[in-house]
Amino acid sequence: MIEPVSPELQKFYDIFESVDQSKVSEFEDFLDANAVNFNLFKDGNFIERSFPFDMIPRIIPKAEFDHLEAGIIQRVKALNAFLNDIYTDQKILKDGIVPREYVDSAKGFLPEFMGVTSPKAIRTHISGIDLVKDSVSGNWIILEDNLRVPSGVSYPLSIRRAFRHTYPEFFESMKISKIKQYGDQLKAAMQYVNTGGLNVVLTPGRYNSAYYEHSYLAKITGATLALGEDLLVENDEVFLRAYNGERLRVGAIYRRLDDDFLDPSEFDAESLIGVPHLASAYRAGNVAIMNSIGNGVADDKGIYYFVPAMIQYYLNEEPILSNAPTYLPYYEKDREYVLANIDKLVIKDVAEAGGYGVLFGNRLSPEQRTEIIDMILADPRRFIAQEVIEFYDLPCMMEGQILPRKADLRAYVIHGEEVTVSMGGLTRYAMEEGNYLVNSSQGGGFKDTWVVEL
Amino acid sequence: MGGGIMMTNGVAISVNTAQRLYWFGRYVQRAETLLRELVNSYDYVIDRDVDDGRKLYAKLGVEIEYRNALDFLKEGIYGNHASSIESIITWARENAIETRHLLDERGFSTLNKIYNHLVAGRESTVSPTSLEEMIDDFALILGIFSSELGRPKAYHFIRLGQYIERFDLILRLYDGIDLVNAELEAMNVIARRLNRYYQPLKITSSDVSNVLKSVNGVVDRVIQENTCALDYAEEASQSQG
Repeated sequence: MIEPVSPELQKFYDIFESVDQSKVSEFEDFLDANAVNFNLFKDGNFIERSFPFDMIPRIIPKAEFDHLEAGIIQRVKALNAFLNDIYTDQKILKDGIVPREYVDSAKGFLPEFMGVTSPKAIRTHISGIDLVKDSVSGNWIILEDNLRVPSGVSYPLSIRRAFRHTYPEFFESMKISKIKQYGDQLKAAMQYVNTGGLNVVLTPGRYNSAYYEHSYLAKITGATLALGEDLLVENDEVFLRAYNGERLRVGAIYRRLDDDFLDPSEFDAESLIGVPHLASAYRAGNVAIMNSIGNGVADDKGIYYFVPAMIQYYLNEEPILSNAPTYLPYYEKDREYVLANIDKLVIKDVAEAGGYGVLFGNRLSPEQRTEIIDMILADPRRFIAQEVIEFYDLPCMMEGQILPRKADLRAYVIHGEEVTVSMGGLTRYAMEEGNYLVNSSQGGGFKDTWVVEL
Repeated sequence: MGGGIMMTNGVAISVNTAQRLYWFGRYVQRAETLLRELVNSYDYVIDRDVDDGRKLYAKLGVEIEYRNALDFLKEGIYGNHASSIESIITWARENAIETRHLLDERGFSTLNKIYNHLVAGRESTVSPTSLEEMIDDFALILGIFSSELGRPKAYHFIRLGQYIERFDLILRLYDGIDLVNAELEAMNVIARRLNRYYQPLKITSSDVSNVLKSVNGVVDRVIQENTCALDYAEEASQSQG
């Protein structure tokens, strides 16, 4: 079902009627000329690929976004408190709010970092919170918290600038919240936790799907873009190997690679993109790692179930935003429900991400159904089940027509001295009608997100 | 708030990035110069000497074959050799992608558009007019990175690469040691700005191959790759040994 046209969206359409629509092609030219890519590996080949863009923005009325913003800030604060607790006192486990086995068995939980504190007690420096708008209730629902290496923020930031250049009419006539301060806010967050030295964006390199974003973030924050081999650790301090032979101390690293690849002396010894002994420097408190090591425990799909309880536990507040109705086969009662209702649920493998490991019960063959039931019974902790959310389609311009496509929203949150939500975000849409998987890695496209006040 | 040094763009440049910027400058300069030579030689092939194109590429150590002037252009642009314009621009673009956070956006997008245009035209006849437009685009790119006002340190690496490439091509194509000597001081100034320990290059030899070697060695005296501590592989092998 397509989202009803709000007065704000109607205003967009009214202005669009009056502008030179042939200039829409300038967006594609802009993306091509600037190589605004989200690259793919397919069949072992590296493919440079522009991120498909739809020029009709998702428009969210300001009052609606204010509610979202409050809920997202609340959620990120609770998740940060959870991470600080889990790696120190583990009070939430001792108080029985979250079952210990859920944390202990989480792939992203790194017990070898127990007792390690993060500079300024911040671990969720940059979060990407995925939401959809339910067409039945009209409410926004949180689908996922991404607290490790959420990507995508550069795309709306880049296209917003192009939009302003191509169609200033919208920005002259509509009150659209600005997002360009994201770079300053990110830089300030880096400075806030910096232990003395350079700010660095650590990238796996040019063949990473989000390399465009890495270089973009280095540019807008003034940080040094570095490969793992550009850094070295000595006496638990991190240095950049500068071109003139000097070593420059590094105080904060916005790493764009997963824990597994971050430090070959600590994690995957085969990693060629990490920095040997970086984890030791982090343990010693000599460098801020953004996001912190071990955050995967908090954005585990199983732990997601407990976030509303975390909000009550740590903040003593009622959750402002809801989770999707979720069942944990780990609990006998939930397991019985899941097995009895598998045809109408979505089954998610907690170890997967990026739209992988997601099965819609109503699309399973009898053999697949039996197979997944056996897998759930064998390892219930590995799966969660959720009611299918009939989230809204958004209007997308495709081949000269406006067509409905499923779309979500990734909101970007920076946790520095304060917690701030970027007043926009990345709207991702599926390329095929009826497809619920909107992820970039599944071939989806993107829209800008405008927060508009009439 | 953390204390200590905070460095902004252009100050803290890694060895890898410095090398990329330098090679970006070299490839852009190489593309611009060879495009000019290609267009000039195209006229010679038509009017004066059908072998002029072969002679041009022989100076670069490349053997090419062509049937006529347009075929010569096609070979110069898309030929299967390291001096084809497509190869050179591909390498310029690769270096630009890895350093784009330090580059002017217009310079980057102009180069990328040239690349896209070349890739799209691979199956078509090469038009001399489109090559002249490409030369203009390269002049724009070179101009952006030559601007005197507010030039960040990153651009000095590009300028260094441009100078070295110019010298290299002048020596290979014209044996022009005097021409190189006339511009040497400007290159030395840039190298010194980048590395205060750099000792100015002086050309005393009249042997072109010796001068080529000296000129191409300048970068190793500016970008010092091997001055840092043990790398992890060495460390690991030592701990095992």
